[in-house]
Amino acid sequence: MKILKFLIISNIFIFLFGCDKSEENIFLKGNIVGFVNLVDETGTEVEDKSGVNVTMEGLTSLANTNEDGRFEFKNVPAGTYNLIYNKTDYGVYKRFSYQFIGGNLPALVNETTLYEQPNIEIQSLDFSFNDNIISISGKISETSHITFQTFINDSSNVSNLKYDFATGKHSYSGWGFTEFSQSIYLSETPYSAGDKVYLVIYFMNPNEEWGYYDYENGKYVYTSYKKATSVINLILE
Amino acid sequence: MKIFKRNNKIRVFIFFILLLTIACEKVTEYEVLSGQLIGYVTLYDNNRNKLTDHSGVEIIVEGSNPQIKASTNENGQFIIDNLKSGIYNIVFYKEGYCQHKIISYQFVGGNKPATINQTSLFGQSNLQINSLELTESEYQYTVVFTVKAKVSGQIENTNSICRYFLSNEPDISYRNYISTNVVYKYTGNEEISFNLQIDTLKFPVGSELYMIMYPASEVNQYYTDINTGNKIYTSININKPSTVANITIPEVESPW
Repeated sequence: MKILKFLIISNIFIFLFGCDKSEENIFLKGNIVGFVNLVDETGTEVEDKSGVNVTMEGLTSLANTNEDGRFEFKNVPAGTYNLIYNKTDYGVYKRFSYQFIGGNLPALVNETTLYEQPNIEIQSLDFSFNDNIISISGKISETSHITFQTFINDSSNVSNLKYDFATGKHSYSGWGFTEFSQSIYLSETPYSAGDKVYLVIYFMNPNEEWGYYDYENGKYVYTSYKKATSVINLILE
Repeated sequence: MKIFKRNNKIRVFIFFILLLTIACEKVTEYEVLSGQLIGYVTLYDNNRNKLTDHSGVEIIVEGSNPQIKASTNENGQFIIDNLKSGIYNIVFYKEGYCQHKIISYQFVGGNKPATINQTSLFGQSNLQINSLELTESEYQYTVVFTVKAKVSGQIENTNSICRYFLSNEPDISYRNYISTNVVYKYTGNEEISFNLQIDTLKFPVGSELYMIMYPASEVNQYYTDINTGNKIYTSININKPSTVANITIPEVESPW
């Protein structure tokens, strides 16, 4: 009977702990390779595509692109990852839910393009609310093209990821712009007269046609978004 | 044997080891899924006419060890059984056809077969590019060259395609290039002639431009070179390159 007891207990132990090492290895591992393209403010592809930081949420390792725009993560366990690409002056791209199986050959991630953020400065800005229209006008450093979007929220933490209302993408191009303006009809917005609202304007690269959908915030995002103004509050009266 | 009977500890120890082996084997089996992979290949001749018999295409699964091979039946179907979960390059090869490759195919495995996107293979073009010539063209403000190529073989084919590659290095090829595009050779013509505008950001004034041309059977088919990111066009006939032509990028008048 002693032996039987011993056997039962050892049996349980074996199944619980005997193969711990193998279980760590259940998932395959492998390398992930990807390429990043860079487009500057004028819409030209950049020759030197180095210096893009790529991180995978859930992994501590970080990869950097070389001149060809190539990056590689080594020995990644199989799983679903978010890949985050960023480069100073180029903004951020997030690739959500990248599924990786692992294996002997590297996996290739679809190419990602980052767009240079516009180098425009706002020199002065005016806001007004008249006849149920919010009017925005501003003076800017001279530029040949400007693309911007205004975001409105009822709280002061308004941003391109936190808003109740966003205007469409507005674009002007030509020679030597020094000012820009925009009118927002109150009827388009979820607000009514008397509300207190917060506005913020973002510039973006006019060559960026498609951004990406940010699944965490439920918003459509352009990689080249650059906050152009501080948050401005306005009482709609 | 007497020792075993007398010494229970040894018997238990042996049993223990046995259990450990069995238990660990079970986990090992669970480690990697496997399953069936099914794919279809469509064959076209060198004039983009679909064939009726799609058999005899050899499929090589790069990244499998030992290397798995399969071939297509008349319908173009191929089946690979017991493929382990992993990442593979699938190579499609048939004598006389342009070899194609699907890279970094992630295979999960499971109870139902996985199907890989339908693949087309094109017969290798028999067009022969006998000469390739670059001359300066007189355009204002932009760098434009006239490209002339003399061709022979299959000249009666409807709109044969040629793909050219540009580089600033003399060791130019379909693998090593900066930009590429296709031109059509119209039915009956024995010459291809077109104007080529040069992007001086990629090919600066004073540098040497190199060009090579291959007969092609189709326009779009490629895979990505995982080392360089270059698109490797697979529907060209890599055995029939033109000679390498070169010219110096001239200075152009500024519009200002």
